[in-house]
Amino acid sequence: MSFIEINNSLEFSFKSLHIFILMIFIVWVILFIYSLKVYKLKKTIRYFIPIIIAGTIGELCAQANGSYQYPGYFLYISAFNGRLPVIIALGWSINLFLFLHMSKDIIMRFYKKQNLWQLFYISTCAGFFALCLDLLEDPLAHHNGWWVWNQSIERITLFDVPLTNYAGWFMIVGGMTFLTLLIDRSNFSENRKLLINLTTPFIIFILLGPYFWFT
Amino acid sequence: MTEFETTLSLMIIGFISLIITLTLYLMGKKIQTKEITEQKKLDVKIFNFRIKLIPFLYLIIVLIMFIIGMCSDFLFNTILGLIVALIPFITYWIFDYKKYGLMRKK
Repeated sequence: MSFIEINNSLEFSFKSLHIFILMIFIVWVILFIYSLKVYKLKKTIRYFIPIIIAGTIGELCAQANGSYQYPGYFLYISAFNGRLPVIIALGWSINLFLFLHMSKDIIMRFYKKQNLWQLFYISTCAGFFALCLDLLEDPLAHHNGWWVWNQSIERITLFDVPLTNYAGWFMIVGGMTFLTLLIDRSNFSENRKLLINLTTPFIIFILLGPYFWFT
Repeated sequence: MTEFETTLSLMIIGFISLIITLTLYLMGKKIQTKEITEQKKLDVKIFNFRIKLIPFLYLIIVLIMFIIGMCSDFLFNTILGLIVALIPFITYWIFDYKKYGLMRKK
């Protein structure tokens, strides 16, 4: 099985999924160009790539457990017995970029001291904002079949979406906001910040190894 | 690959990443950086309203989702979702307005 898969049996009838994909792609391009203009290349890579890695690993592992699947997309990343659409991986970077900036702007009005508490408040706020968007997006996605939750597994749900999914959004966006800002504010050179930020998401494998082994 | 080999390779990647991250962190020379200043941000102008690009894009995402929800017979949940999803935008709008309001008074 190759790492990148192309869905050859794709039907080209226009559905709400295509509007969703198009929207993510356009917003991603706008934000990427904006970031390049404001932050330059290295910082842009730090804002976009680590969250794509973390989101991809998290989603592939959740899919390997049989929680849900993504039918009808064109391009997939395929690994660990899971298939994740490339556009969804890009979507994670949109979430981080939007919520990091919005929560940073709001929290810095209230709490001006630049310490770890400020980072904690910003990341909690970013996680909460992500949760707010997910409460609109996930039930709609499940209803329209953009991604399909496995209903045979017993779990607590809210609008047919498991509560663990909402917790996952909060943790991924909140955690990556904290990590990104922590590295952002360190006094290392920009190259070192970039390397640290790129290697950090892979550390999650240490936790996922035993998780896979015991489940 | 067997399940054991997959688990083992995941953990090896994880440990290598951990070692590289720690090495990079511990061996790095700290440099003097400039004071953290507010980044320049691009504005979008809609009619007479000036709004920052990031909350504007967020609002666009929420509204597109809402329209899709309305068109796909999912009215009740979509309206509830819209109310919750607008919280970040409204919060941002209120505090951003407050900031500009304070600036005007000076």
